[in-house]
Amino acid sequence: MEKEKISSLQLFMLMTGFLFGSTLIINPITSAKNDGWLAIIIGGIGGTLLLRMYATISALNPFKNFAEILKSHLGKVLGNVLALLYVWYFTHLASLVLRNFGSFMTTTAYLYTPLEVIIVIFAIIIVYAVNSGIEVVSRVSKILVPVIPVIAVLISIGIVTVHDFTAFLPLLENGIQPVIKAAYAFLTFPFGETIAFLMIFPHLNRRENLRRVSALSALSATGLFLFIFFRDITALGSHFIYQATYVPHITSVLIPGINLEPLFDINLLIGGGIKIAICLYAASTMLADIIGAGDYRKLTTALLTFCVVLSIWIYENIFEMFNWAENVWPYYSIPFQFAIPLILLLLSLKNKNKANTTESAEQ
Amino acid sequence: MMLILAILAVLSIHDVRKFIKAKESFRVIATYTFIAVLSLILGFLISIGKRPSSPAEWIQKILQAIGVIK
Repeated sequence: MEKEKISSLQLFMLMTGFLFGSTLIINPITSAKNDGWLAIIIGGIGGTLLLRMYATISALNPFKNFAEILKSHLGKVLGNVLALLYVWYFTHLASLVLRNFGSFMTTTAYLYTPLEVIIVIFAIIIVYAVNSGIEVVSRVSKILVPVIPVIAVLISIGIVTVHDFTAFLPLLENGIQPVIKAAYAFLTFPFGETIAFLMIFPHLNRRENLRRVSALSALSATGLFLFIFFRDITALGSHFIYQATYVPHITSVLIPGINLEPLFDINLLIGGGIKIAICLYAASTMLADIIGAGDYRKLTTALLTFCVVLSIWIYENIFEMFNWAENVWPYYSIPFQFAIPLILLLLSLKNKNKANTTESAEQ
Repeated sequence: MMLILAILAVLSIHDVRKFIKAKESFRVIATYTFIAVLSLILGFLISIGKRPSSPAEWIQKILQAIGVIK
């Protein structure tokens, strides 16, 4: 494994940026309507626990990346097969974010620019960042991620005159079921996707901070989502939120006399860029590990080419994209985000107990 | 789309040439070539309007077949 090291603060910024990612474009909690805040809280608590599970897996397997953990616990053959599936999963995720970003840009800002052009320009910048190394990506995120909450607050201040503070009432108007469904969707997107960080965790310079940093970034992202939800619902109302395609974008264009839309686009560039960079890094490092390539940079261009084509190939239109993200993604993610990590956690705990027993017997 | 494919093809050829010069292992060259060629073929099919059914559709069909989604 390469010797790149990242600090706790850099990891925190990376994770927060990743969690923010494209969640603003495809909002998984809209189905809960005015109870969305409850879904965010439930999903956020679940997400914090999930991230803690991923951090524990990494802490129990020190200095091993995800591919090495898979191989050490499940054997070379099964480990490599699962690693290959994860390469697909991360590549797929990177393509989805690229497509979300491209569709958003061509729908709201660059109406006459072809989708492919937006995606390729964004992708070339990202491959440059990934090839520069994870240390560079984390340093950039340390500078750029703090901009996200600042912009969210700026937009909120701008629309302070158009608030209806009772918009999220009545409570549980449609029962608890839509809230649970939305909370689960919020858990899988974005929290479960942080499984890609199992490839980043070994680079952390102070490993004792791993669990704390993961939990803190999950809680910060939840807080920020909650803030944005209350801002949007009090400005637009629950009915409009349910009907609209890009809710935060509409909120940002509501401000009279000033156009804050570009600021919102910057938020997406930062969050989406970090998310794609992490996914591409995870996929190429895993693939390099499987084929014994040594350096992941040898494969980034090929994987990115595939990501670009896949992002255009995967959906015919944005409605298909929204439908898939809401109805298929949460179930498709179960083995990758819950089942396999849970098995790895149990095997890691078992191996640790075994090692402790052997150690005490020797003494 | 064709222009973008051409740019990506040039990038890929440049990389493969570098691999051959540096006497990279067969596995790396084969994997790289497989992914790049697959992407370029798919891109070409999409650009000429013969889009094959996408992985999103396959995944949806598999999940429907095992009864996870309706």
